[in-house]
Amino acid sequence: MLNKTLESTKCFHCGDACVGEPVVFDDKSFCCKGCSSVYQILNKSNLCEYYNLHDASGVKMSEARDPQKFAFLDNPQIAANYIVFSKPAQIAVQFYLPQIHCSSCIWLLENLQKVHEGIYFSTVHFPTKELTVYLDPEKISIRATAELLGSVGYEPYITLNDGQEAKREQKIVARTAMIKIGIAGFCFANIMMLSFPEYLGLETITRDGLNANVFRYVNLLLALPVLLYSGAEFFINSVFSFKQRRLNIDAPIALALAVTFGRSVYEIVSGTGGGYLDSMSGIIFFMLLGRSFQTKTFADLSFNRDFTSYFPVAVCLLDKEGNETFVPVQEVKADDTIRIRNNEVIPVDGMHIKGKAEIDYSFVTGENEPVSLAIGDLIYAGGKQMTGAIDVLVVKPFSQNSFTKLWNNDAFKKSDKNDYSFTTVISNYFSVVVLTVAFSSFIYWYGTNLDYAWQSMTAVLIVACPCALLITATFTEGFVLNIFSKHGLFLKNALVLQNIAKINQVVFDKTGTLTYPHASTVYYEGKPLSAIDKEVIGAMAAQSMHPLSKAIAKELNIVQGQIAHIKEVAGAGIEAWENETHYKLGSAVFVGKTLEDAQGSEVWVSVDGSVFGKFVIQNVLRAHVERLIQELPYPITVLSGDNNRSEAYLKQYLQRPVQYLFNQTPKEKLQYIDHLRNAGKEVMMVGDGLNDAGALSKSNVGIAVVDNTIQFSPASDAIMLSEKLPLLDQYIRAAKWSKNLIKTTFVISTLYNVVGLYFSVTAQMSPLVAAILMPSSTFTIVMTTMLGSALIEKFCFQPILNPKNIQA
Amino acid sequence: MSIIIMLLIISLLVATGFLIAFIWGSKTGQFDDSFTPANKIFFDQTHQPTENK
Repeated sequence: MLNKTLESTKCFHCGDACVGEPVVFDDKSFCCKGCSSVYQILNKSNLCEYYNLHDASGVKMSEARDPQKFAFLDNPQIAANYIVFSKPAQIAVQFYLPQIHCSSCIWLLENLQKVHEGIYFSTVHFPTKELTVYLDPEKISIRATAELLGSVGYEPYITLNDGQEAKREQKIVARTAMIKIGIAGFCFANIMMLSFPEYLGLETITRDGLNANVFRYVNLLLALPVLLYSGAEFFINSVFSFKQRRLNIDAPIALALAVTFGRSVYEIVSGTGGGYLDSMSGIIFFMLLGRSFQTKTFADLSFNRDFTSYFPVAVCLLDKEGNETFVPVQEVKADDTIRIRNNEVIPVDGMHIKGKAEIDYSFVTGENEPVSLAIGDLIYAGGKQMTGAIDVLVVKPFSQNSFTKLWNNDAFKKSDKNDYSFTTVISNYFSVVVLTVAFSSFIYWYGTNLDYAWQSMTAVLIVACPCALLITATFTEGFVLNIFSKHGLFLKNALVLQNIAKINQVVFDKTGTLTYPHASTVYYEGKPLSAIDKEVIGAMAAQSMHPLSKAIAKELNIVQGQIAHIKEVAGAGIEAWENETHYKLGSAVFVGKTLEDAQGSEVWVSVDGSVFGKFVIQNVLRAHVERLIQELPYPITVLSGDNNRSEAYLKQYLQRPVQYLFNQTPKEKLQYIDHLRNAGKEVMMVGDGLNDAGALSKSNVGIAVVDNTIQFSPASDAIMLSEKLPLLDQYIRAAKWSKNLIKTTFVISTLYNVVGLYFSVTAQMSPLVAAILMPSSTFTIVMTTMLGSALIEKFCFQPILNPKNIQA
Repeated sequence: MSIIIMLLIISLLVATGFLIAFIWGSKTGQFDDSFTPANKIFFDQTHQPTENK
């Protein structure tokens, strides 16, 4: 019975449970006005098919949208950035819509022409979540298009620069890689087919000898593009590695390929045999396949975001009469006046001249509490305005703002990650052994038969090429990367996986990483307050826009305050006269305490001039973080840009010795990581804000924690969804096991090599043996890694049982 | 025996045709998005909206 009522109040549009009274329209319930208005638009345009494709497919419309949000698109210079194609009476604009998630989205977005007659048609590119709209600029403006998309729940995500250029390059690289694999596969299959006479020994049957030779020369022709185009990267990489004086795995592979090809050409030209072109092209095909599998890219994530993508594209400029115009952010000059709206990021350094400024700098400094500013105070770029609109007098243009300077600091850019993998180390040992065996067999046969000596030496090099190792590593890493991304951790590349397997120290940022960025708890310390006092204080707090006041009002259960005699002192506090009593609520200095008493996120209370006590506002740890801290078998440090107020709270919940460092500037965080690494530690840094950027780049593995994948995150090796943070120990365990898996499969492939070496050293290597050994070893390797990674997924990843769920 | 040579040439020519089609397709980005076209085929343009659940 209960279940039924619950189900009936699910939002028809987005599927969320309706909190409170649902909004009813057309006999359907909606959780909010936003969702019902989307339904009305779709209903009017006869697009309700949207709901039939998927149940409750809509995107939740949470907050009221700012009607001025896309006003900057009216500026033709800015709008031009989004036009991908233009001809008379038709232009195409491209937007990034991170909300795209299912086939219903595609259906709706490709039927936009039914919503507005100015739109001809539109196409969705699903992997990059981009929509291209072909429209008539006479009938609908670009701004109106963006607003239309917003009104149906797909608000375009527009930033100054979100690595579009890098993404385009990535696309080209991915296409080239696909063509290389295609050509290698095509030639490999044809060579194998044409080698059948060779395998079956038919060359002795065809008496005229012509057929066998024709087949062999066609094979040679087919092998050329494989070696020269598809396999070229092995040669290029190995030349590069010689120049760097560091041998990588490509060098022995290039040697093996060259020897294989050389011997095959010799055999074919001299008419003594068919060569090993089938094995050569097969190996290139599988190695390329493995590499592409491993370098699978996440089209809608970017790991190397430029700081400019953090800022808005345009700012609202005020002229002398107070008229608003939108200009690109780069064009703002010193002494201009700009207007910053609620929740906007401030793009320049400036002076606060009008409005009520509460600036949240948490992303830049890690400080939790917003800063209140008085008129005339300096505002720094990178902060976010929290309470209504303010006017700012620009002091420095965008290119010289303090944020840009911080970002361009050399210490933040230089990164010295381990860029060699353990497969390289193994392959180096492997190469030494192979070369020794090859020369030994040459010397052994040299005395008896020079022909055999050459044959056995080249055969050893062909058979024992470390390509099996490469295939092993690339396929395993590819599988594990896939498993990780399925569980909410996105790695930049496969090397990160190997670095995770090595770590032995974990460093966490506090604000926003271990704690929720916004949720907080409030408790009162001091002389008990009477019920009337509480009511008045709650009402005062409710009338203020300050986040700390909001938290207090919520704690005292007061939604709205109605106090007549109230005065707010910017940057200090509020005072009120009620019931002939003088109440003061605010900073330590405001109520008459000295600065030494101030300790951060707290609000002092004084009644008629005597200080009663204070409300302490504290960040809350993310769910299950305490379990993670207990489970991690490594030393842990918590770094925080915040004050040490929360140390007692953290100590109480994280029941194990953890090193705490508070009041850390971004530079100190970076230096701390450096210090650990100099002491020989392999450090994993987990952070979320820009203040961690330096530490993230200095650590062996830097993980950025985000609430959703569109959120701006500092440059890092991996991006993790915040709700998956408590599972961090499981990822580390899985990474360690995947290293073991690579080792195991490598042992298996070595066994195949030993069998092959037996045939080579004894100079019995026939094309048939090679043709059987190569595919069967590859097949075994791929099967083992597939099975192994499935086992890793099964045993390493376990959901955390929520004790509350068990009770319910 | 020369018939085998003929067949060999023809088979390679046909196969190369497909290879060229593949290369052309990749270069023009036809394999970039495999999700959207696969789903579009299920969208019925003339479908009358049925009574919603």
